[in-house]
Parts: sequence; C-alpha cells; structure tokens
Amino acid sequence: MPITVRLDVMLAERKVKSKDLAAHVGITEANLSLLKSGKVKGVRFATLEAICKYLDCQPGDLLRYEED
Amino acid sequence: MNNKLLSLTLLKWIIWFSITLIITFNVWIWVDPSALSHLGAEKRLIDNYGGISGMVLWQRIAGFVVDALPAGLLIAALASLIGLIRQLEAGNWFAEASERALARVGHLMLWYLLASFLNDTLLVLIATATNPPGERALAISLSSDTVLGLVPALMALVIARMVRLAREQRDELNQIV
Repeated sequence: MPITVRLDVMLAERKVKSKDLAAHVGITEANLSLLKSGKVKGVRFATLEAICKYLDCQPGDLLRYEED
Repeated sequence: MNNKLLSLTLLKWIIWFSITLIITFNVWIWVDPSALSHLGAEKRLIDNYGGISGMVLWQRIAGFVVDALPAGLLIAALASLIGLIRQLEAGNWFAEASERALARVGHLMLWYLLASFLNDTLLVLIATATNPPGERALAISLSSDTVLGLVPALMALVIARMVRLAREQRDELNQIV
C-alpha cells in the first residue's frame, strides 16, 4: 500500500514506549502493534488525534505517501 | 434466561412441534386415511380420483413416497432453522455458519416449492394409474400457497446475503484502530 505508517520512528524519536502510548490512546498494545506495522485498514480520527497529542506531532509525521 | 433467549427457545419448540406434526400427518394419512377424513389437501385431491382407500398397496407406497419428498424437504429446512437458532443463541449473529444455515433454508424452501408443485401431478398420476386407458388423469395445479411460499424462500436467501455483507463490514471495522 502506498501509505506507510511511521509511528515506530516517532516513538523512537520521542523515546516513548508503545505500552504507554497504547494506554494513553485507549487501544490495545496488539492493535498499536498492527498500526505500527501498517497491517490495518484505517485509523479513526480520534485515535490519530490522541496519538498526535501524546507525541506532540502532526498526522503527516505519522503517515507518508510513497508511490508503488 | 432473558427474553431474547426465551423467544429463541420457544421458536425451537415450535419448530420441533411442526416437524413432529408433519411426520405424523404424512404417515397417518397414508396408513389410515379414514381417521383424517376432513384434513389434508392431498387427500381431498385424491378423493376426486377414487380416494386413498381405493388404492392398491403399491399405489399407497408410491403416494407416500411422493408425499414424503416435499415433507422431507420442509423438515430439512426446519432443521436448518434450528441450526440457525443455535448459532443465534451462541451470539454468532454474523457467523459464516449462520449465513450458511439461512442460505440452506432458502434453497430447501425453493426445492420444497418445486416438489409441492409436482406433488399433485404425481399423486393424480399414481391414483389413476390402475384405471383403464382413457380414464387416467393428468393434473397440473399451481396454488397461491406455492407462489406465496416463494416469499420466505427468497427472504431467507436475501437475509443470508445481508448477513454476509454485515460480516464483511464488521471484519473491516475490526481492522480500523
């Protein structure tokens, strides 16, 4: 898929653990792991908003469009 | 037990009762037709051609077999409905098994309608088979019951399709975090 998720990069840059982010956003670690690996069909705006708020970033920092 | 489960249990009992009634009625009408003098469309139809009591043994057996075919299909459809109710009791509303059970009900009901349509024709053929040439009959009948039977059959097939679409949507929603 041309949309890639860069959440793992942002987590590393912010030195935030997946477990803490999952707890703050209110999703399971399993779902966060799926999101990090890009194995999801979509992200709710509410989830995206909570992630951006916690990591202090923009949606564009988490998602990237790359031509196939 | 909550009301939803209670109503499903009640439905199961109604289905079991219907199955028992269908079997009893179909066996009884061919074994002892005099006991059911005012019941049974088949019996009334055959009465016009000499009645069941005037049939020889092979005609009775053949008549029973011809009558048993739609009855068997109806029983199979009802049994599939019990399977569906069990799925619902387990909370598997959108499960593949529920969809399969519903589709099976729809298909069996369509076969039942076809068998019912041919039933009268075959019964009259059997009833008049021993008549001398020229007195044998061929009847083709299409009752409003047969046409109305299409409604539950097609409804079951449409609902089966809806269950599939609902399951696909649920699966897709589960992949959105």
